[in-house]
Amino acid sequence: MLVAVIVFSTGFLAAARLLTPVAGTAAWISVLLGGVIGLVIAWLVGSVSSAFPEQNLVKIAEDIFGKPFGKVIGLTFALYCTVVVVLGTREFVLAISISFLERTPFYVTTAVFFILASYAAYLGIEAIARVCFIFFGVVIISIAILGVFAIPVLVPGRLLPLAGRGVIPIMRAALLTASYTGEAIVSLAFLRHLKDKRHVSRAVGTGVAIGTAIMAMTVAYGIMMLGTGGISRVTYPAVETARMVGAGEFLERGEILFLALWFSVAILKLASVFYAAITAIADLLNLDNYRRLILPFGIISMVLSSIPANVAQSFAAVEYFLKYTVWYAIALPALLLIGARVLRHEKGGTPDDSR
Amino acid sequence: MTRLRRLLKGEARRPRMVLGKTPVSLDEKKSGGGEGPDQHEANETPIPDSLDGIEKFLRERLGNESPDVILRRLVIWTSPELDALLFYIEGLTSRDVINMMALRSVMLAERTTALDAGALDRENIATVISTHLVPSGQITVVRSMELAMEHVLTGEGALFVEGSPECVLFEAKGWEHRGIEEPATEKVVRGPREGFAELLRANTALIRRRLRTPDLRLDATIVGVRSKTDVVVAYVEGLTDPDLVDTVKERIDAICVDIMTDSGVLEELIEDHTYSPFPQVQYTERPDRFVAALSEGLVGILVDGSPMALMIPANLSSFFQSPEDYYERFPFGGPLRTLRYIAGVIALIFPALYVAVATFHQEMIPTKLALAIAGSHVPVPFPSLVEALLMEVALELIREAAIRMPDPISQSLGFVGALLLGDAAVSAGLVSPIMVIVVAVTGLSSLIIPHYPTGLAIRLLRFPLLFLSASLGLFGLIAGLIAIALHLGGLTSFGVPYLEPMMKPKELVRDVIWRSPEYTFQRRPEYPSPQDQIRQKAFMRTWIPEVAEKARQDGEALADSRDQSGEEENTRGRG
Repeated sequence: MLVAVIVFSTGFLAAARLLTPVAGTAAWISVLLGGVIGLVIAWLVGSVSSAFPEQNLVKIAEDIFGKPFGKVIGLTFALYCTVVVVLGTREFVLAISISFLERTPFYVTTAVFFILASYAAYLGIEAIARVCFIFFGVVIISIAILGVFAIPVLVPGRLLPLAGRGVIPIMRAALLTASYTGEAIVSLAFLRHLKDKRHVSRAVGTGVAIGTAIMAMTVAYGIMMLGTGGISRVTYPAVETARMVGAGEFLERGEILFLALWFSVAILKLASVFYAAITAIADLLNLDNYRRLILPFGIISMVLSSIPANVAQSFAAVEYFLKYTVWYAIALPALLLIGARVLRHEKGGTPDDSR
Repeated sequence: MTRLRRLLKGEARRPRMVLGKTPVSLDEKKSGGGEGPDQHEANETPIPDSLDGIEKFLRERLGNESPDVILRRLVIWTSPELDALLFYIEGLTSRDVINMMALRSVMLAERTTALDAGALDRENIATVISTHLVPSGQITVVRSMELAMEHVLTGEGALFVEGSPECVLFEAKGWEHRGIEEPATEKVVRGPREGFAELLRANTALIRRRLRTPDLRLDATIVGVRSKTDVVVAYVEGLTDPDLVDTVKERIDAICVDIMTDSGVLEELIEDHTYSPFPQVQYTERPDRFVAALSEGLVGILVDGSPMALMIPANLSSFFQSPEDYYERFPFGGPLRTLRYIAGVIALIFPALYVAVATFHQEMIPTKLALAIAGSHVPVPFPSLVEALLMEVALELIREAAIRMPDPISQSLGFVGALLLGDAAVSAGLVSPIMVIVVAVTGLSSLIIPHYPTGLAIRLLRFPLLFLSASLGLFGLIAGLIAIALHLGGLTSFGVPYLEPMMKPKELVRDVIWRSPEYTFQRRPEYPSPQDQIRQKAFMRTWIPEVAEKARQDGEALADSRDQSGEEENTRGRG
């Protein structure tokens, strides 16, 4: 469930805008393809965790590649999480400022984000997961309601041609999506808290699948309601989609309620990635209590997320991130897994026998 | 005195109470007083030889002027006659017991052979009296003055015999107390009207009467260095998680306070998170609810002198339940439960939501309503936040005043105060009529929550949310709600996560935000981790052909797949 939240929450806000120019009308297909890549990543994560139950990422990496190199891998993971936190926050703060808090300074909203994320990290992953579960249900219901109300406004013809601009653009867009679904590797940091160690890949996979489904639906709806041309013009197609839906006389502009609800999910995502980042750092530094890191790390990432001076810069950053992180997301668990296999061959099957 | 002080400071070790690894029931503990842990008290005074010595000692310790301390000299009519001293506290003891049983039987006893001079000596005299002369169910023979005093102060009578180093204590408790009345705080339309009272023994009787299983355990201890209050830990052996019982006993054992006035004090001393506004221990005045909790595997705590029994562990959903959900038929139990959750949400966010929408997001509401709100707000000189605060504070004032007022006035004050104040505030142009509606609905909703402290928590949290939404709009409101949700997510009650049953969709519909029909409660709730999961038979209504068929299939399936326990509901838990 947590993984689903991680995957779809930031992705679906802007996915349509980023993907449609690349893949045209078939953007939703590429989302699904991206989901498949995400499933592969989920499988990799699950395999790693079943090979090393009870251990954290840094420890696993150190076991496989020796201390110095393991630390480097741990560092890249921590950096990856930091980047996700920083960019995610920035994206959200922008969405909120653009949509409904025009006059509030960025740093206020950013600070609120980080205060909440720090509090969540302080309480630990269990608390985050529980809250996720509740809010996730609320968000799913709200999306479903929105979906039903949107039906009169839909123009299914806009989805044609089904193949969009051809196979290659679809694949390229799929890779973009995959970097959202690839954020599932963050769950590597939570593995030792899972109760049922056997079904990790299934759990992460389910999360990825739900996230992908929601994203695909949003993108498809976006195209059907706004058309490919319309989507490229607006900043946040999902918000625009919600804006077009009105529940009759009662709620004329539901998108704010919708944004607010789903903003809550975003905070939870950021909180969990935040938690992943600081626990990874704590493991790197061999600290017993990760809580000491909350304040410094929170302040640093808050400052980092305020660096992009304007909207264009931050979008550029997000696009860079999307282009390259998918490779990291595949490479990290794959590397760990291959390393583990090699190690097992050398030592005669020790790590796998611990089950 | 110095010992007391040292005890309170934590310097001296308190004698370990009966609680702990080997549970001893209340009755055993009382009758086994001679072997009780109280014997470890440092200074024990042996009983003086002469009655004069005893009387002098007691007068010194209990004060010369206390009129309720009765020291009655009498003669036991044996041969030879024995001088004796009866010692009891008037008011704590039943006059009937003292007069009819003790005085009459001792003084007017016939001269029996068993009590002839030759048979009596200093050592066995007290035992002989206890076995032959005092017709009382509970009798103890002790050898120290401190123990004798302690027992007498709990309402027993003591009989000293000239020359004997022992003292006979007999049960004579009987003081004035409030009878069993209808619970004041948990009223139901349908269901039993009995409520706990202050008397511990009456309360334990109410529980025993409703739960006749021999597995019911009522383990007693004493809390409070000076007050020596009886505390009973109730659970069902073989059902309640023993670790939970041990944790509860351990925490009660660790308490070292001067006096224990109410179970509320005990709750605060044993709960997990003192600073959380949310209660982590359930309480009830209703024996039916208490017994239902015990049967689900919860641990109960009764404190002498308090009509409120505690139940452990708790979770958020337990505070939204009312016994009536089960006593009323199914079609009404479920919706009522859901209504309560909705009321909880309204009580928490409605004013904040109104302020956020009216201040920041006017475009959210239909134009006509927005115009109405704006129109009603025109004569008001304050921003919505101030308006809301004014009304909320006024409401809290009325509510608090209504509680403290004498009963006849309070009822009228509630209505009149609210109506007059609201109306006057509107006509004076201080608040808009819509705000009055908002606050009234909020106030009403917060009263629907059956558990008073939860209502308090929600009332308290309303104010920070109000400020957040006034400064950041919906964004602030959601941020506040997430902070509350995270707080709840991190909260535990005796190690059990506070949101536990809400994590399971099946459980959620069955008995959390909805109540399913009685016959579906096949398993107990999981959060107290009961040792026996199965509560009742899966298919009871076998007079319905379909159900009978299902039950038959289920029986076959059970026989077929003993090891595939995951599939059938029924086979789980048992296997």
